[in-house]
Amino acid sequence: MILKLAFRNLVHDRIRLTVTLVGILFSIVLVAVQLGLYLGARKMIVGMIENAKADIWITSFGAKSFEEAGQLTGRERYGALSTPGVDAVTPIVVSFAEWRKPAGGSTLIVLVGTDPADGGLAPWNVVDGVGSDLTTPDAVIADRTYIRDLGVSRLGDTAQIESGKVKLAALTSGIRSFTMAPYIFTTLNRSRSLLAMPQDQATFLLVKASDPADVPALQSRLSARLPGSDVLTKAQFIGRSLDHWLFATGAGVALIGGAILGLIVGTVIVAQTLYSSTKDHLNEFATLRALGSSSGYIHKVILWQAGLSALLGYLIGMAVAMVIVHFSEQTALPIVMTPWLAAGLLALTVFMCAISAVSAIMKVTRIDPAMVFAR
Amino acid sequence: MSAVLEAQGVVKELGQGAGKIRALKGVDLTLEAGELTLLMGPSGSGKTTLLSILGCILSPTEGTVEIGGENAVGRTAEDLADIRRRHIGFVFQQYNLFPTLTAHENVRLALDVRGDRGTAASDRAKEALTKVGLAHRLNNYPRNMSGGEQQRVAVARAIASAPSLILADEPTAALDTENGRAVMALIKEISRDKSRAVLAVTHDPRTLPFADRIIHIEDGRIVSDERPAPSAGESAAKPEATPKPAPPPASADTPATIAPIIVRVEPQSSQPASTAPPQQISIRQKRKNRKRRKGHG
Repeated sequence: MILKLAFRNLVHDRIRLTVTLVGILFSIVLVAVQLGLYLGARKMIVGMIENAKADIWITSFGAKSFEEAGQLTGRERYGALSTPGVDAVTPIVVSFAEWRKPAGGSTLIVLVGTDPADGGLAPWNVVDGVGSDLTTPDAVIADRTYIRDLGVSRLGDTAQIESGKVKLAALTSGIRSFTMAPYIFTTLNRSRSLLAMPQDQATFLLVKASDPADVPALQSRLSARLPGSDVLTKAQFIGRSLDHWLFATGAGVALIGGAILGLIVGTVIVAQTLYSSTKDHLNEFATLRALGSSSGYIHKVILWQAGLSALLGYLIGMAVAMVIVHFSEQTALPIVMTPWLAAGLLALTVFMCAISAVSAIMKVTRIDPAMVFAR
Repeated sequence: MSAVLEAQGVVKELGQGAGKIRALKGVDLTLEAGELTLLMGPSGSGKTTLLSILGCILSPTEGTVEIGGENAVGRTAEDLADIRRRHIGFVFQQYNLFPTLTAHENVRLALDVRGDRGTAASDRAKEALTKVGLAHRLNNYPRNMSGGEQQRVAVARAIASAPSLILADEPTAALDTENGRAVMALIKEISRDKSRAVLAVTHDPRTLPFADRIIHIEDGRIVSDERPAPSAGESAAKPEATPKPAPPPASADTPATIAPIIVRVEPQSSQPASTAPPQQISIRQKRKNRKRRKGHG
């Protein structure tokens, strides 16, 4: 009967129910979009690091992220290779560069020089062409999200990076850059050539450990051997990149702030409507109390009202959020929805509605059953 | 007959400081099973306060209240709710049904509050509604029922859990003559249960013929406590003060064996009691009485 009474109280006033659901819907959509953007940003920031087959990253001292790192001198590679426990060391080059469009104009890109055959960092999710085409003359691989920004339209189209000619050899899907400067893959040597870098220079050295369980000890050994460089595990480099882009720049704080704002707005709206619903049903709650119900029984009715509001609002809110997620998929700023985020949002919504019920519960706790005689 | 409720020296002070008033000034009352007792009195006399205390909704400032042998004084709000749940059924002036629930659900809710659930509770709710003549209205919402029917649902809700005490607050005040009489007949019927006492607060003189006992309260004190003289065939219940019989209203529903009476005991309050003899009733009052009798006919 508690659930039935809660449901009937809820649907009794359709207008108020609509206001409640709209409040929850806005809250859910706002939180979903903000957290989805956060996850999307995270995915973009750490995508390269997560997809590289490396246990340890050697960078120049003070490297902030994948995109913002200085150049290593070249000697580090030999130091690393001579360290016990190292299976392979693969250099890659990463640098901002200018992309000159075939029809005129230019745009900033992040050039990634890598030799996939060496087991370092290979382009993934290749949807048009094949990854091995990277070894063909002047070949570059870009993500299809950016081909319009790059001024190209199909495989084989040519452009320039700095002063060197390049040809679009393959397209990937979903390799997006948080900096909005598209990642362009090419071979290690071609990248050095385009950037006019010495042949043994690199931005990162990707280290593969002989024994994955030995990574912490190997990190210590490498740090001791390469005092002028940063030696980071994959997790540490991911953490450093996220710290830089999401927190040092304030971008992540804005996204999380937006999500918190959404929660507050939702909580206030649900609290207000639950409180006013409880006030409207005060005589009924007083009657229940007069009939001998415990205060816990009445609290359960209110909490169920809050829970049902949460569930209905969540379902509608998630439906709207999924539509937005779908339309954002092919944009440069995709919103990511994971099963964990969906489950977390449900828990957040229920929590938000439970918190909202507090004011109504406080009101009903002070109820005087004697009011049933005063009507 | 056994005592269902015993109240001794009940005093209730309301308000604080200079605004404090004594709503009840030492009320002694025992309610016996199998009786319908009417509690009458002018506005502000303390009827509702006394009903609230006897119903374990308010606690007295002084005095003792025992319901079914259980002390109801000095208990927490949750303890009092528990006593209400186990011993008391309420019938309210405005029915206080839940508008979003059907008649059957309204009765089931009262059982649910007591922890009675499932098919057995559903059957008991149906049984209670059948007892009050609403077997055909189980699935109707209060808004689709007349005032009389709603009050009968309220009576069914009160009796469904078989409480030992039923307290009714002006049960006929919101009803027309016919429905008021029907509801009183129903309340009279349920009061015949030898395990149950019924106390009804009322202003309505139409309820008098149904009473086994009539208590008048004025200025926070019981000023009369009468048992109307039973007619032949009824078991005698001696009145504690001299009743002045009055002619019963002509009504087919009025129990023929009960002689309605008007009882007057000198109040012990500072206010002078009315001593106007019956023949000094005003013309307006006579017209009202005539209309009322027509209504009964």
